[in-house]
Amino acid sequence: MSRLSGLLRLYVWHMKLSVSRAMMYRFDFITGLLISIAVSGIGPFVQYLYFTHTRGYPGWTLDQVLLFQGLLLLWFGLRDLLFGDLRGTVMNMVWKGEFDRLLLKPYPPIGVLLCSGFQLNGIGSCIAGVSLSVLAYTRLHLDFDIWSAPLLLVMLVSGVVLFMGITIIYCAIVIMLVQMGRIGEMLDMVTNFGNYPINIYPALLQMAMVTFLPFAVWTYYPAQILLHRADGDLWLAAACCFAVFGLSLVVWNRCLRKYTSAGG
Amino acid sequence: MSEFIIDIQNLRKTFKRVKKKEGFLGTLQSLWNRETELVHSVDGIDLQVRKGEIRGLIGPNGAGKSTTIKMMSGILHPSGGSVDIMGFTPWKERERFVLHLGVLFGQKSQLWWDLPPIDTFSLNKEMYKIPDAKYKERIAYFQELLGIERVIHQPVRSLSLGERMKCEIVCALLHEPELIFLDEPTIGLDIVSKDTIRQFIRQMNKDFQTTFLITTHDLADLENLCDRVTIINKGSVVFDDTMARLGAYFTNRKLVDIKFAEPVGEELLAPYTVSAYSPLTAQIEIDLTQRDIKQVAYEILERFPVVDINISNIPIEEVIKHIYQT
Repeated sequence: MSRLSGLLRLYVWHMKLSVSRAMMYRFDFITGLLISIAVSGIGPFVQYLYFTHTRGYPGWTLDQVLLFQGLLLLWFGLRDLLFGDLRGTVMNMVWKGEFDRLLLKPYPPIGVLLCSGFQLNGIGSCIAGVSLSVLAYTRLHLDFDIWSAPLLLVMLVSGVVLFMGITIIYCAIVIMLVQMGRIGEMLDMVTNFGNYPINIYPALLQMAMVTFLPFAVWTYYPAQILLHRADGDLWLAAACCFAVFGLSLVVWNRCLRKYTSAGG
Repeated sequence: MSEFIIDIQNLRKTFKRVKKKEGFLGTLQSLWNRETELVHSVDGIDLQVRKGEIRGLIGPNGAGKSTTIKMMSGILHPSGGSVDIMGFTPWKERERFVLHLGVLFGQKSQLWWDLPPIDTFSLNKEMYKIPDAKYKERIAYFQELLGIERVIHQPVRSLSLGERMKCEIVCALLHEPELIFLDEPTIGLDIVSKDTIRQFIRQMNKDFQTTFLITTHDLADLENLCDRVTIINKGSVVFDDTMARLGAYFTNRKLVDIKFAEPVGEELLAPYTVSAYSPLTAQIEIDLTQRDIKQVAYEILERFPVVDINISNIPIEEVIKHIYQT
């Protein structure tokens, strides 16, 4: 428990330093923020075009899809804000042998690595996501159920835990293989399944996205909670996120023993 | 409790390396048929270091120094042997062990490039849970000894290599470790910065009885700092003794440096083994198993117009070169 609180404190420190660093280059930060907000709008716009020129997604109205898109953008923003480009960072570190210095800290190296991921650049997607979600939610004229708040929090925590699990598995493979650019792309292609409502997929895939690839916690279930249509499977998905995380730690610890560092 | 802060027995590390065939065809072939070989980077090292000692660990490139240091730091798991450092087995109890250890890799930085060093120090304070009062006291101590009062508030990217290295040292030592591994701490530094860092190491050793293990290619580091030196070559320890013993490694060989009052022809020195010659100076090497040094000295004084004569041991640099090549 003290280790977890220590890591959380460390995360806050890294966050402060990361903000300080971003403020050293204010112009770059502000232009990056504006570009990020502008680029974030492309996804929902494409979805809007797709929806208005096709039959759309079965069971989803245009405003519901926009709410989904807003939450998706918010998730992307949070993901980038909390963990930045950890995959690129870890690959670079292992390749150059700089990963060594994480092993010299009095914490688990994967904890230190995850703690160092904060990047202020993700704030642009967060702003765009919150704006779009609020707009779509207002247009839907839905009543906010007070019980939705803790459910949304459970989904957020599960989503973060799942993302950490996937990142840890990726880092473990990097330790073994050192270079793995295309595997990263493949991983992205698999996780991209979570960027659409899962009820558009065949039943088997739907089942997979609630159990061993529980990507539904990232956007689908939060949207369903706000639309008052969430089912009990969300608890199964949340539990599976923690299972993936646990599994990732086992894989990581096994791979770490194989770490060879780089020449001196 | 062992008398040694570091006690290593028969430490081994074997890596599996891919043997790449030459040329483009070889590259293609390696896609489906890869040959591997086992490389014994560390091959049965024994090492004992006492508390408060400053030990030099040297060897040619690829000798296995860094791999040894990495196993001693808990970064790498060894293939065999035992390591006992302050009662810890580094790779098994890594998180608790590193609280007592400071490591500086001279060619790798842990400072945040865009921010002043003081920010990285604060992060380390948090990481090692250093109390506020202790932290302030340590920073003041380092500022005074290293002369970095102004430097620690400037962005790292604007600092010189010497200033950066001093700040790297602070990062490694902030949590007051009992044992410190310094991997090439003076690499690329000017004479003044090197001297400051050497003085600092001596002072830390004196004030806190801190044990240092220093790997370096700079012999001045060894001569100015180390009580003992361990030489590693091809993964094994080939010399482990005091600096004085290293200096007197060739007990049967002496160098005689002579200055002549007037030019002396080289042919007159033919009876001796001449290692350097100019008409007014010469250096000759005496094999003490063949000749008596006193007799040679008298002979030289009698035969040549000598203004100065100096008898010395074979320089450490030569000794080390000889050990590396053996």
